[in-house]
Amino acid sequence: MSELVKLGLKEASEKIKNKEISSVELTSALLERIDARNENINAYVEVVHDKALEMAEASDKRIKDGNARLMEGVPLGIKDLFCTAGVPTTACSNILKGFTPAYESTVTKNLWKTGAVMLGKTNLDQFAMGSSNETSAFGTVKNPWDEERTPGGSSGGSAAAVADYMCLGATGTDTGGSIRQPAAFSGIVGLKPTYGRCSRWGIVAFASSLDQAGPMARSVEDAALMFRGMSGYDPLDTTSADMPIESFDENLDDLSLKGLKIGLPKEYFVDGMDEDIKKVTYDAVARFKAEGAEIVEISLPHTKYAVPAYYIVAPAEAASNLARYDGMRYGQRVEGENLDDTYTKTRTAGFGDEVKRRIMIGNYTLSSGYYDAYYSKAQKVRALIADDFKKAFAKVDVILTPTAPTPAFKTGEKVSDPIQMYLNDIFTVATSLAGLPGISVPSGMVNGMPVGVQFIGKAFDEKHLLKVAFAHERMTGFKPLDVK
Amino acid sequence: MSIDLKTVEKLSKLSRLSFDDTEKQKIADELTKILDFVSQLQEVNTDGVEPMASTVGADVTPERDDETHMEHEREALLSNAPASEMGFYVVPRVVE
Amino acid sequence: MDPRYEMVIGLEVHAQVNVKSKLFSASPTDFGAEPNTQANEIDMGMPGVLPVLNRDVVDAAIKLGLGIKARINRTSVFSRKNYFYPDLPKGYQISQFDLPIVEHGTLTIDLDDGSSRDIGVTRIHIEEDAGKSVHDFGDEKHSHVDLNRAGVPLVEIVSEPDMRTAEEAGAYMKKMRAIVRFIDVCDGNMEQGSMRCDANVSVRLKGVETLGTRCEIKNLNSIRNVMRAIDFEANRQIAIIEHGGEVEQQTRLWDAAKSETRAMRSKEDAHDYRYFPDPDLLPLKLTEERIEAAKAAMPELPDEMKERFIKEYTLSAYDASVLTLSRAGAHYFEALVDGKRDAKKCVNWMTVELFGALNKEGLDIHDSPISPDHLGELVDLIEDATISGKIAKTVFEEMWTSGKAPKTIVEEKGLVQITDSSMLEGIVDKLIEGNPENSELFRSGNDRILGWFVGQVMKETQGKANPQMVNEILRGRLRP
Repeated sequence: MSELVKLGLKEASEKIKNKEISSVELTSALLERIDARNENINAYVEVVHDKALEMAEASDKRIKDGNARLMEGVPLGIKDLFCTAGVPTTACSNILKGFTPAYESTVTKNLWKTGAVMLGKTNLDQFAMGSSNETSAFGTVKNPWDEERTPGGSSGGSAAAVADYMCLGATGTDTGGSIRQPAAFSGIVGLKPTYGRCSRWGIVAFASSLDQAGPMARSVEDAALMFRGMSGYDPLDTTSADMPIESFDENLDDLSLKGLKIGLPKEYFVDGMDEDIKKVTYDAVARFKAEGAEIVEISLPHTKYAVPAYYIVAPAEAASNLARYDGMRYGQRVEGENLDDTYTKTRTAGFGDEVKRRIMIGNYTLSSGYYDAYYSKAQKVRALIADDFKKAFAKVDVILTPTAPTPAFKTGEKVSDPIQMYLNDIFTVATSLAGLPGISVPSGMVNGMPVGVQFIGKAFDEKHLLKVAFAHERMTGFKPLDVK
Repeated sequence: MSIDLKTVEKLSKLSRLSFDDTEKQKIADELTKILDFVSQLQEVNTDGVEPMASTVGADVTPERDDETHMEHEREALLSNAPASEMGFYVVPRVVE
Repeated sequence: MDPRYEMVIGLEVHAQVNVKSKLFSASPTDFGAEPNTQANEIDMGMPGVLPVLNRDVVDAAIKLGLGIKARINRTSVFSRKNYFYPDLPKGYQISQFDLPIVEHGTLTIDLDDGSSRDIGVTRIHIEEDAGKSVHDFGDEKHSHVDLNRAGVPLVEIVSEPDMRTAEEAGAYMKKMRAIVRFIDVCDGNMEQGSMRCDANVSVRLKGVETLGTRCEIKNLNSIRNVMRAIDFEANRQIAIIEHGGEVEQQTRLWDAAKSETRAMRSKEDAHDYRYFPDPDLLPLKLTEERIEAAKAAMPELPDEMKERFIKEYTLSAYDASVLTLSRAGAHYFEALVDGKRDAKKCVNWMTVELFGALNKEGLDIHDSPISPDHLGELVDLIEDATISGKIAKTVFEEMWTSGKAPKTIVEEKGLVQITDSSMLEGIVDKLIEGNPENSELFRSGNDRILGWFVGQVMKETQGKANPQMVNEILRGRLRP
C-alpha cells in the first residue's frame, strides 16, 4: 500500500498544488487501494478507473499551467445517489440498474469545478433508506474497523471508503442521520449542512424536505474544505439557500473556547442509554469544560416525537418521490399482462423490502382520511421541534449530543426489526426535521470501535460549528484506522 | 390502529406493489407496529400550530424567467428507455 | 328536452398559458414538434430533477383572476396529485389543491336575446399538463408516449354549477375565451387543444333544490360540442330517470362523430390522489406591488368594452357583445368607425359581410385580407353615393380576393355610380318610348311595374345608375 492514500484531503491538495506529488500518482495509489480492498469491503459499486485517471491528468496539466483550483486533483468517492453524467447511477436499487443519466448533480458538478477527481460511486442503503447499508441491492458493506460490523447507513459505502483509505473524502446525503451515523460508526467526520446549503438537483430524492448532501472525510479540516467545494446556491433547486460560500476550511483554530456556551439537551441523556456512549460524550464535555467552555443544560421538549414525526414525513414524501420508478422511461421493466401488471411486476421486482415498507407507510399516511391525522400532524410537530431548537439557541452557541445510541452493531443484528433500526436515528432526526446543521466527529473508542459525538449548530452557522468540531478533534486526539 | 389484510391489499394496489400471502401478513404486522409507534404524535398538542411548510432558508418559492433552453439531445435521455421507437417511449397499451 | 326538468351545469376549463417555456422547466411549449424533442429530464421525471416555477405563468393567472373580478390569494400552494399513468412521468401531477392562486370570481355571460347573467367561478389554479399517449401505431399491445406536452402550463378554471341550459354553457365558453384572448393568457384555440373543457352535468325536476347525480363529460373540443354534449347528456339522464332508473356518477367521453357520450373505462383506485404540498416547491407568495402592477397593466375587458360600445356608439347589447368577443374584433371595429363613420353601418358591414367571409374561410380577424381602413373607405363610397350598396358588395368581393383599396377597384372597373341626370333621363325616355304598354300600366295605377323599369335601367347601366335618381326620374316622367 502506498502511504499516499493516508494523506488528508487538504494536505494532499496542498502537496499537489506545490507539485510535491501529482494527482495521477495519488489517484493511481487510491485506485490500487480500491482494487485491493473493495472486493472485501464493498464500499464502491462502480469504480471509474479511466475517467479518474483522465481527470487526474487534466488536473496535473492545470497545475503545470498554473491554473490550480480549490481541490485540484483530489480524488473523491461519490455516493451512488448523485447523478453523474455518463456514469451509471442506481441508488443501489435494482429498479435503476442500467440507468445512466445525461445530467450531473449540482453538488458533483461543483466538486469537478474545483478540480476534484471522481474515483467511483459508493454503496448505500437502497434509495438511502436504511441505517446499516444492508438494504443495498449490491450487498452489505463491511466496517473496516471490524468486518463483522456495519459501517452504518445510508452513506455506508462512503464512510467505509473514507475510513479504509479508498478515497480522501466522499459525498454523503443525510435525511435523518445518513451522514452522521455512518461517520460515527466508521470513525470519520461527517457534516450534514443546514437544509438548503447544498443543492438537491440531481440527487435521487428520498424525502425532499429533509435530504441534504454533505462531506465525509477523516478530519474536520478536510470535511470543511470539501464542504466549501460542494455547497452554494443553485437556481435549479428552489429550496437551496441564497447564502455566500464561505472559506469554511480556513482559520478553524481561531476559536477561543472560553465562554463558549455548549448546550446539553436533557432529553438526549436519559435512563437506559448506552453507558459507554454516555461516557464518551461526557468525556468530550469535560474536555470543553477544561478549556473554559460553559456547559448549559437545555431542554428540547419535543425530542421524543422526532423519530415518529420523521417516520411519517419521510415515507410520505418517499412514496410520492418513488412513483416515477415505473419501468416506463428508464431502469428495469418487468413485462406484465397489461399496463398495471407491468407497473406492479416492475416495482415489486425492482424495490427492496425496506423501500416497499416505506412506500406502503407513506401511501397509508397520505391516503384520504389519514392525511390530517398523520402527515399534517407530523408537519405541525416538526414546527414545534424547530421551535425547541430556536429557543435553545437563544441560550447556547452549539449543542452537543451523542451521534448514535450505540457503536457500530453487527451486520444482521437489527435488520429484522424496523423500529429498532429506526431508533438508530434518535439523536440525528430532530436536527434534520429542523433543517439545522449537525456534524459527527470521532470522540473515542469503545471495545475497539469508534464512537462519535454530534455538534448541532444554528442555521447557516457551519463555519462556527466546524471550529467547535475542530477544537474537539484537537482535544480528543482520535487516531484514525491504522492500516499497514 | 391495526392494519388488516384488506388495507394492505388496498395500499399495495395504490403503490403498484404485490405481495404473497405470507408477506401480506408480515407487512400488516409491521405496519401495525410502525403506526402504533408513530401514533405517539397524537398526544402532542398542536392547536394553532401551522404545519412546517418553509425551510430555514426561505419561505417563498423563487420564480424563473420564461426562457427556453434545451441542453440534451433526445437520444441522450431516451436511450435509458426499456423500449422506444421513432422517438416515442413504448409502453404497455393504455386504455381509456 | 322534457320541459319539466332543468339542467345543472358546471364547467372546468383548461387553458394553456401563452408562454415560451414549460411551467417548471425551460423546455419549449411549441405545438407540433417531433416526439420527445421538447421534453428534458425534468419533464421526463428522471431521478433527482427539481421544478422551478415560471414567473410569467403566475402573472397570467393573476391577470385572469383580475379579469373575472376574483380574489387573488396572497399565498397559494403547489401540491402533488399522485396517480400512475404512462403520460404522467413523475407519477404525480403538480397542481394546486387546498390553496389555489385565484378564488371567487364572476363571469358575466351574454345570451342571444341580449340579456346577461352572472356565473360564479369557484377557483382558478395553476397546474402542469400531462404527455400524450398515441394508440394508432397498429400495435394492439402497446401505446407510444410523447412527453412534449408534459409540463406545459395550464390554468384550470372551475365554475360554480350555475348554468341551466346548453346555451348558457356555450355563452360561458365564448366569454371565457374572449377574456383569455383579451388579456392574452391563452390563444383560446379549442380545436388545437389549447383550451379544453370538461362539463359536469346533472338534471332535476324544476323546483327541486337538491342536485341530481352528475356526470363529467370529457373531450369537448369546440363550443358547439360543449353544447351538443350537454344536451345529449341531459336527455340521456332524463330518460334514465323517467324509466325509473338512477343516474350513475361517471366520467363520460363525448364522441362527436356519433353525437353521443359514453362511459369511460373507469380508472380504479377510486381516485385516491393522496394530495400533499409539494416539498420541492415552497409556497407561492404574491406581493401587493405585484398585484397592483398587474391591475395597472390590465387592458379594457370585454364587459367594459361592451358597455362603452353601447354608450359611445349607441349599439344594441347584442351587437356590442358580438364585437367584443375578441380584442382584435373590437379594435377592428373602432378603427373602422374611426371616430367619423356611422357606427350602425359599420357594424352591419363587419358582422354580415366581413364575419361571413371570414367564417366561410375559417379565418380569424387577424388574417382578414381587408383592413379596417379599406372597409371604411367602402362605407364612405356608399355614403357619398359614389357607388350603390349593391355595387359595394361586388367591390367587397374584389377587395377580399385582391386586397386592393375600394377606390382603386371602383376606378379600374368603372363602377362609379351614374348620377348624371341628363344621361339617366335619356335612358328612361328611351325605355318609356319602347314600352308603351308597361308605361300605360303604371299610369293606370300598377306600382309594381316601376320595379321592372328600374331593373331595365340598371341592366342598361350595368348596375351603376343611382337607384334613387332613377326612381325619381321615372316617377316624374310617367306621372307628371
